[in-house]
Amino acid sequence: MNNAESITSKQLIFVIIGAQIGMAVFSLPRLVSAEACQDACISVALGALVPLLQLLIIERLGRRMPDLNFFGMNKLLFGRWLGSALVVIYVAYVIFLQGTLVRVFAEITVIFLLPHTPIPVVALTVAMTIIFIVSQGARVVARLNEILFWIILPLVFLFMVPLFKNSDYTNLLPVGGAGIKAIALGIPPSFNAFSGTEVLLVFYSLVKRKDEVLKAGLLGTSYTAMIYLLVTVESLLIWGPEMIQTFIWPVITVFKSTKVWVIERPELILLTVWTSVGIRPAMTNGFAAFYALSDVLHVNREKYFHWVVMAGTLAMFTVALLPGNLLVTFKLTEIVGYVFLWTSLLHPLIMLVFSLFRGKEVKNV
Amino acid sequence: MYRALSLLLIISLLMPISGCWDQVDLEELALPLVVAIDVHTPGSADPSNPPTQPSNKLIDVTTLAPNLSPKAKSPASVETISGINVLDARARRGIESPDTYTSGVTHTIIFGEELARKGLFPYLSHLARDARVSGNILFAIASGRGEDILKTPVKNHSHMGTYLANFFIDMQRRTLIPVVNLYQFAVHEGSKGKNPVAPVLERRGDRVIISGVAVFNKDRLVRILDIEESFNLAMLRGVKGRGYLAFRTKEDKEYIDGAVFVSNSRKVQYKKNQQGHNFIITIRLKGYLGEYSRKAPVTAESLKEIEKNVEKQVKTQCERLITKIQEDIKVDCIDISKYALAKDRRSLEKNIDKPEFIQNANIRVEVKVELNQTGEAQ
Repeated sequence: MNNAESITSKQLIFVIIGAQIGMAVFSLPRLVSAEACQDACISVALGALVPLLQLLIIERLGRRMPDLNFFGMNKLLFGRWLGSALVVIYVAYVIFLQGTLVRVFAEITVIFLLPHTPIPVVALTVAMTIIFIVSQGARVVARLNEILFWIILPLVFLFMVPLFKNSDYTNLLPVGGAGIKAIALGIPPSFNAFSGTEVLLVFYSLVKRKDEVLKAGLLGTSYTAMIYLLVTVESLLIWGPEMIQTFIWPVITVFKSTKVWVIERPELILLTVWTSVGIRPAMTNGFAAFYALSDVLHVNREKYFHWVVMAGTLAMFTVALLPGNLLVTFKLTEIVGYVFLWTSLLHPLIMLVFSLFRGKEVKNV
Repeated sequence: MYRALSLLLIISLLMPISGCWDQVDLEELALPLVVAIDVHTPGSADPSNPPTQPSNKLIDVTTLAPNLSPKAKSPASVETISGINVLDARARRGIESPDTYTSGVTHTIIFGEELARKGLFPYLSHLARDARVSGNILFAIASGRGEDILKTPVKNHSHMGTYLANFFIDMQRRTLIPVVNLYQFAVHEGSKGKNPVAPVLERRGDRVIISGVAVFNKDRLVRILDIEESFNLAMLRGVKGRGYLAFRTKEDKEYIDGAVFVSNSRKVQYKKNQQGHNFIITIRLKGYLGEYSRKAPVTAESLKEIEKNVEKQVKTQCERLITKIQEDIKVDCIDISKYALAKDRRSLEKNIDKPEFIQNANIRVEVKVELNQTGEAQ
């Protein structure tokens, strides 16, 4: 591992946040409240337990094989062919999931900011940005995540302004009134929004101080959970459990309906900033996937990593253009979301179990 | 090779920065500030209205856009075009006007009374779908036709667009009339246990005034309240505002008139028992004494007396309005059903919007007035 491929545990916090918070934040309140009604925030809070469990599993796994990367672990535990196949499944999952993210990003940009610009043009711009950043290596991806984090931090305060203007607390009541079944049904869309935690499978081997990985992961995921809770509570307070269903991205519509001091259209500021940060998950998860893929293909990263990145991003771009419209995109995201459970939870869990069974071999590594 | 590729990427990323596809010259734009939508009336649209089958003319869309060209004779142009729906009218405008219409700066939308009585949902759809439309657009109903409001000549403003903007801005700092934007209307129209209200604009000669408040049952206008009732509605509904309230008391066989300037707030308590759904609405009015015709100085005791008189007067008026709502209007326009839903959403949401709910509810009003000042005079 060279210097460009190592990151600090502090940078890992921003990497995890960057991998998790993308375009899903805008539609999360609608998706969760469709099931959990006024109790959507309870479902979001419970959904946050899944990425926390993921973190624990991946950290335990990494601790057992600190010198191996994601591909190396799979190869050791499952053999060359099966190990490679499992990594390729992960790469395909990232390409599909982040391809749909690029599409949603392009759709939002076209609907709200550039109505006459063709979607492929916006998606291509995003793809080129991803190629440029990811080719630079883990450290650049981590640093960029850190910089973008500080750029959007003021938006968190902007997020809170509408709360003081249009909220109606009765929209959240009665607490628990939706019923246990409804709250439980709201959990899957909630933990799907946390997809991205699995980047730790790849980034674990790149972190300098392994003893701080769990702490960094907890901080990152807690921040994401806090943001998700904030937007869900806010959207519910403002739109209510019925109206929230009428908007594709209720969080953006909240800002469309609020004047912030002298700013007549705060949603345009939100989206302008978001155009720079919205692709973070594609960039971060993309790096993790292409890094793992370069291991599978035995590519000399110093010389040819950018070719892997270009090929992978081209695939991502193609996926982004596959759906005929936004509704099909959401359907595709939902289908890919089911794979999330495999790549993020079951795969690491099976790896951990295998590493326990193969205790001696793992220790020798 | 890698460096050349990176440079190529950076250059190609810079190319779309100008937003090529979306670049429009400001001079080519028409920016309608106010839009009025009415039921189609033959002869209403401009003679140059593009040919359409009469049966396809369902609504008239009137727009008021300022003329940006310095050579323009009038400060604004008001045009009416007919169509099946709003976007059909906009499509016809495309073959009649050289300007590109954009709805990004529209600040007021007015619906004609007849259209509002039919139901506004079909016409709200495009407003919700068009991302350029702001949720802060002010929402009003015209007594009669909205088109007439826009075609009223104004004297002390450059055009009706600025007149209406000035009219509505800060209105809640000077009267107790509810000012509603598109978002607020939509939330009340689309939520269980809620119903929207909107101010009513009326043309009186060469003036446009607010003549009351329109009460909706979801998207359909059911009643227009007069100004006095509108003040009481705002207080009962908890629409925060500030304004003058005149009062009259009788002391020693003599009538004494006065007025207070108050800001309002409300609190609603809900309880369900054997008698049914019980609501206690507490209205708090806080402000100062602005006018008082009695010659003697105002003492602490007489100020308390004034407070009691205002309390009594507001309570009586509010109770009268509640009776009207329960017996005549039969729609919860005072926004109290949501407190019942907050207690038991699951069992109540099916019946909350039925007229029987508000008709049979036990609604009690309490008014508390607090006057802190008597102005400069004692």
